Amino acid sequence: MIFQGTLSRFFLMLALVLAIFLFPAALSRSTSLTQLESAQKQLSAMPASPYLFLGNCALDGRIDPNLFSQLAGGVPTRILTQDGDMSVVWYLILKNLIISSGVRPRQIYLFFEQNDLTLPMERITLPRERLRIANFSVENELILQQILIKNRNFMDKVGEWLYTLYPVQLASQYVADAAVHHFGMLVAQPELGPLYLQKMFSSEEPNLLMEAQSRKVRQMVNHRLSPEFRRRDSDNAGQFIEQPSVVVDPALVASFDFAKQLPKSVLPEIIRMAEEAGLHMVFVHFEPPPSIFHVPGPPPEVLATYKRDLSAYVRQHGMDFIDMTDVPGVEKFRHRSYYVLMPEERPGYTRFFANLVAAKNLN
Amino acid sequence: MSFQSIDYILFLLAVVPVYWMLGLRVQNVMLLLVSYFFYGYLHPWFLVVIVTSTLFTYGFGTVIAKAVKPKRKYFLVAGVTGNLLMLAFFKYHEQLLSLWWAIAPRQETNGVVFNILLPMGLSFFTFQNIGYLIDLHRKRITSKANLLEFAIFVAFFPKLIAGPIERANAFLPQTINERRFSPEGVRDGVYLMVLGFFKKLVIADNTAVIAGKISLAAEPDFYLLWAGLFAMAVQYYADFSGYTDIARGSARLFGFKLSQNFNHPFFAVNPADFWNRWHMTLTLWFRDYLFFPLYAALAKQTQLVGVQIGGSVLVTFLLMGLWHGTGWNMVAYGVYHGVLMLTYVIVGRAVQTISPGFQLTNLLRVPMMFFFFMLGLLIFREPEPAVLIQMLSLSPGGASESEFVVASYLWGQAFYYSLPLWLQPLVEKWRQRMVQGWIVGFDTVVAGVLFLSILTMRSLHPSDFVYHQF
Repeated sequence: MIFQGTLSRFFLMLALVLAIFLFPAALSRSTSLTQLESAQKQLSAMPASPYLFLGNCALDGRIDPNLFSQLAGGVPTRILTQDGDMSVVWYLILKNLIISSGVRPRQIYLFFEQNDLTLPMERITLPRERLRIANFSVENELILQQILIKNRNFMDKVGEWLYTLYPVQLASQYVADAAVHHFGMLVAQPELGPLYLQKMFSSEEPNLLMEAQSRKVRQMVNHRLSPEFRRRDSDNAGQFIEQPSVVVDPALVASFDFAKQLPKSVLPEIIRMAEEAGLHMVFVHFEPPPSIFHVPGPPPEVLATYKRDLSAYVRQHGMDFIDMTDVPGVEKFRHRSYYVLMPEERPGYTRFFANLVAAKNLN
Repeated sequence: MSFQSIDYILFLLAVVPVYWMLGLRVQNVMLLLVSYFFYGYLHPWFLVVIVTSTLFTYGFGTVIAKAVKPKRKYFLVAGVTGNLLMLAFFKYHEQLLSLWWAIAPRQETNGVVFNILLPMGLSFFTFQNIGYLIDLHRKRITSKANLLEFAIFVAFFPKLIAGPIERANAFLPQTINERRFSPEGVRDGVYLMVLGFFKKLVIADNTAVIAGKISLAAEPDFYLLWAGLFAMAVQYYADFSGYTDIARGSARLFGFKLSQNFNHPFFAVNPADFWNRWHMTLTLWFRDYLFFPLYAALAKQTQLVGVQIGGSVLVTFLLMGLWHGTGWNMVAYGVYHGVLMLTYVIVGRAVQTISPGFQLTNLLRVPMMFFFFMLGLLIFREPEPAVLIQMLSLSPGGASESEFVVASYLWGQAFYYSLPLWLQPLVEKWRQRMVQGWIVGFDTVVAGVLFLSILTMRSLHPSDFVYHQF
């Protein structure tokens, strides 16, 4: 190796470069999020036989738990998941929250789209997703580890190592999101400035006016930028437009091969645990997004075969399956994004779903 | 392989240590091989194109260097035409075919579509090759490179996909002369890369979401439209200058220095100043290889200074627009900047005649130029003339209160992400005033903070580099 100067210069430079990359590793994550134990306590405190819902943002935009409870004659109803949750989190919530808390739900509805139930590697890599997994995990999640190992490639391992090295990533996304949101709020509503200052220097509870304004502005922004209000000429509007995919990706089609995907997924474990605990689950495959969104998907016959095999599998184990695609009238609900409905559709969809389960005698 | 993938970092970690253990000749062989690997990783077919382009240009370069007048000129014309034909074939074939069918319609071939993949970076390395041939013809290349060294000039992976567009005179000596390992060079390279990744992953990718969503919104009012254009301006600058920083930083790891491509364009005070700060290597390329020869040619044809300057400015900017694509909006974008430049020259001269020495304060000139830059982006973005006209006719008075709140919120978010770009010149000035010994520590702290920001603030919706499509 050719060195221009002394070895000490080299090591000094090396130390400086390493300092850049190593100091964030010294910062550990700090989170005030609800931990598993307190979530278990809350669930245990629920009156017997509630309705529990699992899913993600698509479920949240469809089902209003309070309204569903009213429609179900006052039976308490809870959504246990949040935006971005996928099969690994559903598995952990079933195992470490529902079953461990000892609650005996009347019914567990699991809302999913496409082939999410058999894609364990979906949405497990981003900071939020990792935090959700960490929050619902107990110390030795052997089965989960085995499933993840089965599906993990070299780059996934590198990614995991980076998260271990920089745990600060896990919680900080919330901080970054909050900072940019509040900055936007201050520009949009400068009259809230004094309240922000007050909040910065006090440890009091969040100001209700600020919270309400914050929610209102977020809703206004989401509403204004929703696909419902897209340009009519958007197919010609340049590079920002999502173009329909003309080529069917073979890897996508392969991911809909139920027989091949099942052993790699958490679904068999979900079913086994539910059976052992005597829980009844209803798997709800909700309707695909309208065609205007050009969401890449498998050919219809591939999706139909997948749903047929999945339905047969869960029914064979005494669980139920609802294919929302088959339900007339579901197409009337307007979408905000691919899978999320417009906020004003939520009550209507809740009633629609409550009537459906009543008609199918699933409640 | 894209810069923002983990693959690229692993690739660098594997290649750089081995590279510095080798002698010059083997280093060069390795550089070429890894550059071809980098390019072939995107698509193996691209390798055929780049090798053909390299052999063709090197062949013509050798002939030009040896030939005497007037043959030198014929060989130059043939070499440049060959390069332009290759560019036209891949980049403009659809438009050229449409034109051909319009001129000579034939039922059996009309409307046939050829799905020809555009090799990434083709515009960039083709321009480099043309510059090389012209410089050889002008006898401005002092270093004699062999095929291997020339092939590295064409394919050196940090600059291959989106520049900077290098000059043979600046780059070839670096491939020919011995490169010495310098810890400072590696450190500077790492700093530049961290800065580039910060610009791309934090600023560009976050503002791209805002710009993208607003550009899709139906019937935006005045405020929403301009909030979107502001976000787009921030996105494009952070994206492209971030790419350049990563490219320059990567090159430093191998002992190479690439040209500067941006110099705080948001602080430009007039159109001429803007083009001296934005995509500088492209601007200089057009200036040296098109504007000056064109101006000289026009000067021979006419005594009218207006025609000389006006003609050469408009043609240069028109072709700069077409370099980006062939849509009418690209033509309009080029003409817009040409007209803006001419207006600036004419108005500037008139003002100086009436009131010599008069100059507006930078507090007015900078926002004005930024406004003109955003207006250019609107033209660049809109493929529909009717939509463009409708958007240009929007007035601030017609906006609803809710639309104003939405626009302010999104503008505030875009501004938040753009803050580092506005503060960067101040930080650089501050740095320049520091005592030498403190600078290294200061750089390390800044790079550390940027790296932490990448970890904590990067967008969850990463996008490809904008200039990859050109």
